[in-house]
Amino acid sequence: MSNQITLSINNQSISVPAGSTIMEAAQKLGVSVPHFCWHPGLSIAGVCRFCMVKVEGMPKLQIACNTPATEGMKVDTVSAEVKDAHKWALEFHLINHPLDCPICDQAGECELQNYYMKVGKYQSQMEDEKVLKPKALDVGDTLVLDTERCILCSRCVRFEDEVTKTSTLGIFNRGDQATIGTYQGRKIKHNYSYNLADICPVGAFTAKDFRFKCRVWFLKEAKTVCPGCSTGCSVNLFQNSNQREYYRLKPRHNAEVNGHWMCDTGRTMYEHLNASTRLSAPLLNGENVTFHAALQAVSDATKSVSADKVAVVFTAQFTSEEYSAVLNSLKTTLKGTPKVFVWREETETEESFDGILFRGDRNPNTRGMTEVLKQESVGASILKGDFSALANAGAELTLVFGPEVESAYPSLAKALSRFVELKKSVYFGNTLNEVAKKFWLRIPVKTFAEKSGTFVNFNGVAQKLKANPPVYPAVKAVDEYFADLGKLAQSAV
Amino acid sequence: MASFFSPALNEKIKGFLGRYETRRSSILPILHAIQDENDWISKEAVQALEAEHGLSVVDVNEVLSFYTMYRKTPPKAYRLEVCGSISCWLNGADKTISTAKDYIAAAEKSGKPVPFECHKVECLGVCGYAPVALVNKDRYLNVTPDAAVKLIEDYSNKDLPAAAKKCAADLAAAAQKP
Amino acid sequence: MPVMNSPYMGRQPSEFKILTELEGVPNSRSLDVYKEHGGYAALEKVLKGGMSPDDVINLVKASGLRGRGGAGFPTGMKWGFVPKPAGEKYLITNFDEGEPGTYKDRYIAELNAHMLIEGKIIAAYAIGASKSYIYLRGEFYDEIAWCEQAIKEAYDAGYLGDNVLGTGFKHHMDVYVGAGAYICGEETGLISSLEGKKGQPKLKPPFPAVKGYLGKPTIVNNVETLAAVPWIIRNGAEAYKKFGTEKSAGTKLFNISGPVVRPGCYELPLGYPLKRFIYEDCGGLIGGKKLKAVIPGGASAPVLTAAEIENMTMDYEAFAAAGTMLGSGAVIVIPEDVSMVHVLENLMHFFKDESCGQCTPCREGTGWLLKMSRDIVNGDGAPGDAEKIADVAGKMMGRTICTFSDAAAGPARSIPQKFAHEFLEFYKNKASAAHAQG
Repeated sequence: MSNQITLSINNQSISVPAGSTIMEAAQKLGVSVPHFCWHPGLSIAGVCRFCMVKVEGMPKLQIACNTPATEGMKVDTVSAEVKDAHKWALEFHLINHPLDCPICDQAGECELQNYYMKVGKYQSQMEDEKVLKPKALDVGDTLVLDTERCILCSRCVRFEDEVTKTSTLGIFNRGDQATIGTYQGRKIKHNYSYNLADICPVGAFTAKDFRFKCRVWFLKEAKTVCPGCSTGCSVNLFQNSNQREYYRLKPRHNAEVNGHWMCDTGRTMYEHLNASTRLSAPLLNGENVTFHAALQAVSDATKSVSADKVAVVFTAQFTSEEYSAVLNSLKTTLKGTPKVFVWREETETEESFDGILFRGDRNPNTRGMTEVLKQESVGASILKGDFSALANAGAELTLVFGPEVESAYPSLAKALSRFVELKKSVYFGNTLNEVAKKFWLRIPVKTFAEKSGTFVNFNGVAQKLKANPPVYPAVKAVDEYFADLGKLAQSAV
Repeated sequence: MASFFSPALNEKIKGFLGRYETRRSSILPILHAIQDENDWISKEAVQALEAEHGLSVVDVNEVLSFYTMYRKTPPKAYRLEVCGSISCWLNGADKTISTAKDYIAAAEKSGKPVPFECHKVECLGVCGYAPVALVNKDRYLNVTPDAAVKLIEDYSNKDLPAAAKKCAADLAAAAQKP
Repeated sequence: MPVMNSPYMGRQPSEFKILTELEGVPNSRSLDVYKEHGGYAALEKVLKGGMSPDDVINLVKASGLRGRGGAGFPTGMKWGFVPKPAGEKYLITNFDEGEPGTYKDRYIAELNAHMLIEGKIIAAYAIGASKSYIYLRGEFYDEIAWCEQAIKEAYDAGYLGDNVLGTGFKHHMDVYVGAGAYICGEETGLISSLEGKKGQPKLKPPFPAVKGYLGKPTIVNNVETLAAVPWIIRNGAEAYKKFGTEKSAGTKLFNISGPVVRPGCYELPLGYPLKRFIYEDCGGLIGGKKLKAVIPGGASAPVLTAAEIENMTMDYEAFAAAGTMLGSGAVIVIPEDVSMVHVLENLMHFFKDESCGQCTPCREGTGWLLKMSRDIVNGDGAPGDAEKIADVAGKMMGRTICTFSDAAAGPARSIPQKFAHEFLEFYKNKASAAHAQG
């Protein structure tokens, strides 16, 4: 029963729901209409005047973002008149824009640069002094603001008004003195501030933790899922592949999960990926051993013990494939089902939600883990601050699958100190962690950035991770280790 | 917790807040009222509007910085604002402005300053009787250079306006604070 | 402040008395005096004489009354755009009067603001608005006081309130004071200001008649437009059409500025000859100077040379045909000894100062136009600069949220086009200055 209308853009036909704008129709058709201030996740501003198009029957050019598409409308986005309008719109944007490119982080992903190459390429006629405005302002923990670079598209103002509803930003003064800013140096203080740097088409809002660190053309992006909480925002993860170092995450549009945004907590999910924080080799009784020796130790331990004397402690931060692999492999080896525990952070409020994206369940795969346990007909006891169930289980071998994102487990040290008291405790985790050194065996694992697999979010949406070249090639994912264990067991036979 | 605003001003503010369809609409008249009493609008006033009356500092500051009638720094007691737009310019406004400014500067230099500042403003809307000028809220027409000087002299001999006195007192009090 | 009998006026009272009926009448601002001259009879006729809102709209349509603020849009048609179903609607008077050269709306309030108020109540009835505002520019201290006084009198007399003239029609009126921004004279800029925000014009669509103040149907009318309504109601559409031309019916308050002998507001029929207005009614230029140029409709109107005004009549069509506009009816006279290059710089300064800054071509373009004009005035210009100004202005036109850019382009294109020779003198200064130094 949809109300669809059909129009043509550059002689190509496209049908869209009634009420759509020409811009939306062009986006659907894949026709690029240059724009700055329009953003599909924000209200229409119509201030940049860049998205001019020619509509047959209308004498003046129209902005595509605010012109309703009508049945039979004929739109031209490539005529000489339109191209000239685009060129001049760009010229006006660059009149007072500072020549900061050599020191600006946005270079390489700057809309002004990109559009200049696409629709500009003119000799500027501006010969006068440019308007100067405040630069390099500290507007909070996460962002630096350069008001001179700002093209006053107002995306950030609309984001603050409409998405976070914090309204910290305004555009003050009149005419070409108009300046973006907070009031009197007040800070932007919410968990979605990095989105401002994303939506800023230029280098006005830039991320502090990325400042001057890496030119963007050295970064490769991988489409993956954020492991920060059970929302599982679709993200792009950026790695400098030459150095195997990660620099940042950005949200990727997913209408079903996160829309256009992600939270600031998720932005920190690159920090634990890099070599300086990583465990690179197994530790047996505190001493470095080979991967083969470590797996052999596990294999030997499983041979001499019955299933009911083996405890498995999961955190919900692994892929569904990893949970499956562990349970199946142990069932086969132990010829029975081990005792399974789910370790949740003591202070977590699992059901809490900030109203936008961030959830109190700080694990990306609670739902996936629950589904696997159900599939394998395995009951699990919850350990949340109270580890007595595990202590009383009488386990002679305990496999602990620790959280990849340790910041999500503030009570980590306390929990670990309980685990190390157990006999033959094995810790699968990715970080160098002092308390964890006391485990009988430590096995390093891949981070979410280095493995394939599935996270299922709180709502049942399953998403795939994308494996990047690993920081330490010998380190594997849990399912890969348990496949190796399976081979070890067979070869022993 | 004492209000930043006088009781009379608070009454006016509350009156405006309830007068229009939205509270936000009251921002323009409230700023005028603050300025009428204190002669200018300080940062503290803007912050007090938020703290005491729930008006967003961002909203208020956008208005404050957009409209030219609002004074964001303490002014002299009298503002001689002469229109410099086309009709007044054609009738010699530039000369009026430069004469007035020179007079004020000379008075300052001679050790007998006049409580005046002179600004060029845009069209004041009585263009046939140019040059047009305002001295605070009083409008004058056909303001030749001589007429401007006479205005400065006449006003300088009067008692200062209440708002100017309050402004001076407020600044003195602020200077005393540690 | 000049009153009717002040020495400044020195001119004959207007012969045409639709808006200037009370000219020369002592104590003209009194309500009683207004009523003695037919005041509020129109309102009685509308509310008690069995006229429906549509009757009023049709009458105003038939009269040919066009918006007197500058746009010249047919008033009755504009009222007809308001959707019919009941619901909140607003009528707002644009009393921002900031167009350089324009001082006619304040004259109506100086004579008697009740003209405006009566016209407003009738208009409100026609469009179904129970609330209206008079938006006045902040610098109009006297005019604000006159309007507030008149509104109070209207309430006391029962012309405003929950039960106007005992007919059950409800209408409340209030005053809203601006704070110094020419752009608040743009109808959606005015609405933004009334909402307590920066006076930034709004995107269209949606149009204010459908979604305006607080998202409700809103009509914004100029003072002079509304002030003409009571006379039209009392005397009928045909009587109004007797004045003016076929397409520009009625009279207009023309104002003249620049160095003329008898400046002031003159009520004249549309179609009145411009040259006669300047030389006969206004006594020509002071000192007998020769005329160089005329800006016919306020600072935004493209300039006309003295030769071009030879047979020009003052109506919407004639000015449009000449590539300029009637606008607010503000005639600005430029004598031979004034440099058009300086005129350009002065006008560019105005537009740069008053640009709201919201959309890029205007915000950046007006600043650039001023810089270029100033460069030429200061002797830093080079041949081709005047053409560059006209070119840049042309690229701003039609590309912005409101017509402010088009307004800036009016002088920015017409002055370089029509007075190119004057710019050459300034370029030569630079070359000769360099030559003198070198």
